[in-house]
Amino acid sequence: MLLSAILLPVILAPFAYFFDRQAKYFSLAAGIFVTLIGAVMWLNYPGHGFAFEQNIPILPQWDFNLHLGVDALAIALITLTGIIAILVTLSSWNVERPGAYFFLILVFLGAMVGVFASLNYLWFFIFWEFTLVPMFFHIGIWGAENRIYAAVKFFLYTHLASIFIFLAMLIIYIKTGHFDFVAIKQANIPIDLQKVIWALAFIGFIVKMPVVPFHTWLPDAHVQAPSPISVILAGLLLKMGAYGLLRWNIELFPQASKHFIYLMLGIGLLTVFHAAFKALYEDHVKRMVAYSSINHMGLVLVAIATLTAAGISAAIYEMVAHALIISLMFMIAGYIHHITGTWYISEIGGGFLRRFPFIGVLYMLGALGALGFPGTAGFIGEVTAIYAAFDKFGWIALALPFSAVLTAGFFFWAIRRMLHGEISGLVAKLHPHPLPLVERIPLMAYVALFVLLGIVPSILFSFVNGYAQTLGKILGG
Amino acid sequence: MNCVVFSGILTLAFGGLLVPIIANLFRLSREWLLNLFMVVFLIAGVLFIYGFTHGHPLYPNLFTTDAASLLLTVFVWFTGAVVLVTIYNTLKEVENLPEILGVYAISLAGAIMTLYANNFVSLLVAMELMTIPSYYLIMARLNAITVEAATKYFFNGALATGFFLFGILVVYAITGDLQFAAINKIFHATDTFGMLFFAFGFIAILSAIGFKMSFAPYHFYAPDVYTGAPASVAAYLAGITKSAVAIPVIRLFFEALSFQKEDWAILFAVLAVLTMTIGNLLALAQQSVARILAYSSIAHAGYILVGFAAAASGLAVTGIVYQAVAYILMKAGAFLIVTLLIYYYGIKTREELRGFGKVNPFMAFVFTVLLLSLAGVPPTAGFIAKVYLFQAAVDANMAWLAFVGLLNSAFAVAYYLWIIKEMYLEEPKGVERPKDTSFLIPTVAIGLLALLSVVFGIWVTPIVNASLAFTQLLPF
Repeated sequence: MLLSAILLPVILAPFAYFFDRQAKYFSLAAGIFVTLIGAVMWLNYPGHGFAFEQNIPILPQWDFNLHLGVDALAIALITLTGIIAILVTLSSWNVERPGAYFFLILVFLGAMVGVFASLNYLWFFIFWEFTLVPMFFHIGIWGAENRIYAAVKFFLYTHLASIFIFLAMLIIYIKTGHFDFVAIKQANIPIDLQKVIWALAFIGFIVKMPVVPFHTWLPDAHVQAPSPISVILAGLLLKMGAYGLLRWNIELFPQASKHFIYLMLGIGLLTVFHAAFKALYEDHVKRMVAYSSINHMGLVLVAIATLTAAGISAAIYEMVAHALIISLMFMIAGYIHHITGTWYISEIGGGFLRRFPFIGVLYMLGALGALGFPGTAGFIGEVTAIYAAFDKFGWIALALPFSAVLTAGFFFWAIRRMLHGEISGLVAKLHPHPLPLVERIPLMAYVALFVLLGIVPSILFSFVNGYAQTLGKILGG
Repeated sequence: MNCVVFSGILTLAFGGLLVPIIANLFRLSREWLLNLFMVVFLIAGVLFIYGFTHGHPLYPNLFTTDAASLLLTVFVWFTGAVVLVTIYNTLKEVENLPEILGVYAISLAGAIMTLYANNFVSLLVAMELMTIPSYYLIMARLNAITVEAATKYFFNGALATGFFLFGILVVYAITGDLQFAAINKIFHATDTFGMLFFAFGFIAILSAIGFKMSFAPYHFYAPDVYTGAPASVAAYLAGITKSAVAIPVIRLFFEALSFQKEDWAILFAVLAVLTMTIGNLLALAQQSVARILAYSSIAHAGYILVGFAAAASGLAVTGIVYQAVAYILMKAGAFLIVTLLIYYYGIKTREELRGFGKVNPFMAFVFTVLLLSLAGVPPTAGFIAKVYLFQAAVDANMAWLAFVGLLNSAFAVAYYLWIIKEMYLEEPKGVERPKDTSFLIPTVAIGLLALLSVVFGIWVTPIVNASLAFTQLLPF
């Protein structure tokens, strides 16, 4: 089942390339297929451990086997991958050169499922590295004016970071003789070496997440990427970093993780505030969203740093919430640029909401989600994360609500300057821009999903609870 | 050597000798010339594959047969055939094409023979059989540049042969034997003076091998020769001959010097770091695509040296063999694409490649796959080779070497990616499509090399099993 979710998109990819006009349907079909697989696994998941395992031996004596298996965390993220793939396809319905575009989307989709489903470190790394290739072309070909710089920077930066994961993986193999998750977990690695491995892989994962001080590739990549690709970057690629940290560092080396709690907390807090202040200062519509995205990932790292069941389920919830909310914001920022022809809030002036109510209202809804307004998934994510952090770290965690205030600050200020007020000269001159239905659907779907998750958070919480409890118990004991 | 394989080598060599004569005697057309050579290659290939399971050993004192050399034979043969097709397609108008192809087949026979050598004399003979015809190949098109390249290659090659002979002399003087394994006797028998004497001989042999495999500080000729020669010949020189030498060198160092592993590990580690860094840094500064590939081939020699430095690990041999196989496919493939770029489009530099992805999507795609494999991006053979090599380095307690190597390969991505960037992300400027579609056959052939380098990035079993069988023959 998992193998088909990896292979089907990859097999469809060449067809998409050669049948230019039908490419989007292939992509849509693959997205629906992955979502369905995710849903089926979600409903049939037994509640603990790895399920739906598949082991395809390639070279058993080297432990190079395509060992697939998922738990609650992976199922949640695979389902998210499928949903985002569908919505991204709909948003890219009228893209230029659809054959090549959807070819890359499909290849990326297969690799993405592979990242979340691999229980073999080497295969995980293969999928992990391969995701860079389609993203490089997406940003570089379909991106904005400074796209080539952003694409090359994105590839080199994250590839350089990956060598630390690579080295960690090699050390694990030499010490245990295994790439397999289950086997490594049972192996007995001295604690000092565990710490070295942990630290090496940590560097690789936090660059992808990204957190301060390794975040500088993200604003460039996001701003230059076309909006649907920004959605993939924010919604899926960043999740890889947090997923890798949870699966291959914390779950694998619970003992070593405890030595790095305050490192993670420190980096997390630094990220939260650095990104919030940077966003406050930002005049660029999309760059502001990018910093807000970094801000959220900092919160995820703080939640992970608690190493408690509550913190980890909050982190997973926040990951999903962030994917839905920030994706919407990136799409809207892209549309605002498309309509006005400028990236800068100060140039747009005011009165955007009155001329373009649909886009404007969605921007406000997304901003409310991002700043954690009750009723949205952002609220639940932030509250649970702050609660977990307070429970563990005490008063230090009370700094976090201030970052929420800052987030509220820059978004409300942007809304005030851009959406409300007198209609500026620039906005007055703009032509009406009716969005086709097919592009409205994904936007409304993001809102529906994060409001649904905000009102009924138990959908996700009850599902990942078992995972978080088990992990929390291991980490606590 | 296996007698079936040996007859395959003879087929290639005598085919190379006779086909040009037949072609000139009967005034065969160019198409028939290629067809005849294809028949020769086909017969040789059948024999090579038949030799996997059949045949009895021949000249056991000079040659040995093992899984790694049999495997490499097939890759050298297949890639050699692709090179042949490309040489034919891009040197069609050269008058002495029959002789060029004949000499090429003889040289390839030498390359395959090199794989089996386990004696200093047979190694010397096989390497000379491989190298001497290549001086002529470099001058396939006679002009000032190719003559310069050939002269450079000739003088360096002659010097290397001289050094090699001096090394052999020393070994023979001390041991009275020319088998690789005989060197071990040195460590039992000789006094301090003998060891010092041997050290000179060892350095002489290392220098000769350094020339053949182009690692620092013997790399200076490589960029000039590989860019001066016709690119299809450079594909043969850089892609095939360098990997072919790696296998007997494994045998030499692992068998002959097994007593002194720790001593020469550090020497190889230093050479590896030097070679990788020099190759990658200079490649970054290049404009010409062929020159980038030439410097990257130096860097790849450095990765192989990582394997020699990590000889204490059981994974090292697998790493070197995997790298040799992957390297044949991707480096020869990349140089062959450069051949087609120069021949059909007149593209030589990175900038001229702008927008090539739109001009010829298929060729650009094949080139991209080969470059990604060279860069070590998964899932390609180049990636698996790096996993094995650096794993061996970690295993041999040289994690620092693995880190330096990884850092190097991460920086190397920059120049490969830069070529890809020029092809796909920039707009084309004035490159015209060729008038006919004759580029299609060589491109498809090179596409097969690219396909194989992806296949062996996932299906690692045959290469690893062959190298494990090979490893068991070596003393550990």
